[in-house]
Amino acid sequence: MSAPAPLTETPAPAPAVRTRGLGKTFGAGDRAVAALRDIDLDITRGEFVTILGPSGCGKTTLLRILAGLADATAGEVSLFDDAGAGTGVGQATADGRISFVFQEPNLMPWRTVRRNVELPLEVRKVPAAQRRARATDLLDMVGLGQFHDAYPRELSGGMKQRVAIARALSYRPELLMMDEPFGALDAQTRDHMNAELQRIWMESGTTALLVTHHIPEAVFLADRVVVLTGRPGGIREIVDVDLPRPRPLSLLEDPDFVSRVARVRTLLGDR
Amino acid sequence: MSTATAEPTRLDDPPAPRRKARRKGIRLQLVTTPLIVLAVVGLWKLYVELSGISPFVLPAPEDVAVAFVEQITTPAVWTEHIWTTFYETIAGFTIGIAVGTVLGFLMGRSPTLNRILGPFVITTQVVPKVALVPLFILWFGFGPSSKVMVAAMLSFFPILTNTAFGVRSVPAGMREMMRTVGASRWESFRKLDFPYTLAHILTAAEMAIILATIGAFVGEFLGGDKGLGRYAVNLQNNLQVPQLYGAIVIMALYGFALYASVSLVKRLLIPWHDSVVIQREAA
Ligand SMILES: Nc1ncnc2c1ncn2[C@@H]1O[C@H](COP(=O)(O)OP(=O)(O)OP(=O)(O)O)[C@@H](O)[C@H]1O
Ligand SMILES: [Mg+2]
Repeated sequence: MSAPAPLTETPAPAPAVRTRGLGKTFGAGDRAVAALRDIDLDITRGEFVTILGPSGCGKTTLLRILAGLADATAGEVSLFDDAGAGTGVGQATADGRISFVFQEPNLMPWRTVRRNVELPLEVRKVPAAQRRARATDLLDMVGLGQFHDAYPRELSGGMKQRVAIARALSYRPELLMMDEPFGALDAQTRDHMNAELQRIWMESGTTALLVTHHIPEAVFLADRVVVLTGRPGGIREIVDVDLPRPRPLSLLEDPDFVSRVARVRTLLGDR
Repeated sequence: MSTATAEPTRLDDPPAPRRKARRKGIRLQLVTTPLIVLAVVGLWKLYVELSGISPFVLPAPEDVAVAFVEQITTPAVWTEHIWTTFYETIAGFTIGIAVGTVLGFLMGRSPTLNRILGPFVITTQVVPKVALVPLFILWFGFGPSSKVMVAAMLSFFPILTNTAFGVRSVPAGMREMMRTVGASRWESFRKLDFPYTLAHILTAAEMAIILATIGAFVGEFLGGDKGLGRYAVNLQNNLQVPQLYGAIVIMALYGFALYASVSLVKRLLIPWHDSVVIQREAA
């Protein structure tokens, strides 16, 4: 009883993601590539989970399966306890409960920054005034308050990615999945975005699942860090990060934090 | 590693220098175009004077100029011929765009439809179109309708192929993004496929308007009593050679005006497209 963890008594935590024996093999026969094997993952609602693993180990593939963009070739997946292997996944996407930030920003070059952020709200038939207000808030939040009317080609790579994040947040998803969203950002902006992401996540109560190559980022954001093995990706270990929140950026120098980063680094190192 | 500010502010005042550059580009064109036309006319005049060529083969430029001015100040040329050709061109072009985009989207998105319809679409293009004109006249009469059909048949093909190509080039990532934000197929078409493909359609439209114009002229050459093509044939039959040259100038200007209009529409509708941006910045 050393850490002052504010534990409220929760009856059986509600699951957001549950996979059992999930595997994925691309192609067949001689040319088959096993990308994922035997993934048993339980993510509770409201949790922040980050995924680390060597390049090509299947991180993107895992997120794509969870988002219903690809099918698993083995095992089962369910989201929000909707049961039904496979079917529940696509349905959650169609119902707008999931949001996905891709490795590439995928902005529409014919839309201004603001209208890119509004896109999911347009799809949901949200009235224009409300859309606009929401986009304004989100763009301020990601530090692009002055770029409402710019076109994507006028933005840097990191700025585009921030627009993509604002777009993904616009409809307040229950499960926010992000595939290396901050890869293109400079160190300072990245720190800032990490702090912001933590704040957004705490305020919104959404479940977050983030893939990254950046170990301190993974530890800073996560309740739990999932460390994957090399291809085919399996779970090497899941590291709990039981540090209190909100975590200040000064935590990056904290010995408790540094020791966890070192531990994850070791796990990634000895393949 | 550390940059001074996390926030680049390069967008504070973008449009001013660009517009200036564009105006400069237009000014250059305003000088070069007349100069080149003048040089060609000068050479023409020189050749007529020195070679003693028969005016029935190549009249002097000033005779053509006189004929031309007389022609474009004659109301009947406008109401009978230019108007008729214009109607045929635009009607044919419109049908071509409609048929071409609809078939293009269908064939671009559905490999099955592509296989079913493909051979027939190709057939309409490999058959010599001039040979089909008499058939069209047989079916649709000597009036404008047969020319509209020729113009439509010539113009729908580039629209179709470019539309199909465009919709197939929509990046897979963008399509998946539309899926994850919960867009239905129809919304995905409206908000992604259509705007993305518009650039391809409009590029094809620049070609299609020229083909529609040619289709109308060719249709008129072969039958009927109105339109610029028919007008030229009549002048030739009457051996009104300077007027024939004048008619050709009218046809050229006519085609040029239509092309420029479509081109302008394109630039207005897809100002975001790389090709337009580059053109704008280079102009
Ligand atoms: N559509 C596909 N067809 C065949 N193989 C694929 C396909 N997509 C991914 N793979 C393979 O699956 C493996 C995992 O790919 P994935 O994109 O999930 O890796 P990743 O962990 O996201 O890598 P990175 O960190 O570099 O983004 C790779 O070896 C890749 O070659
Ligand atoms: Mg990846």
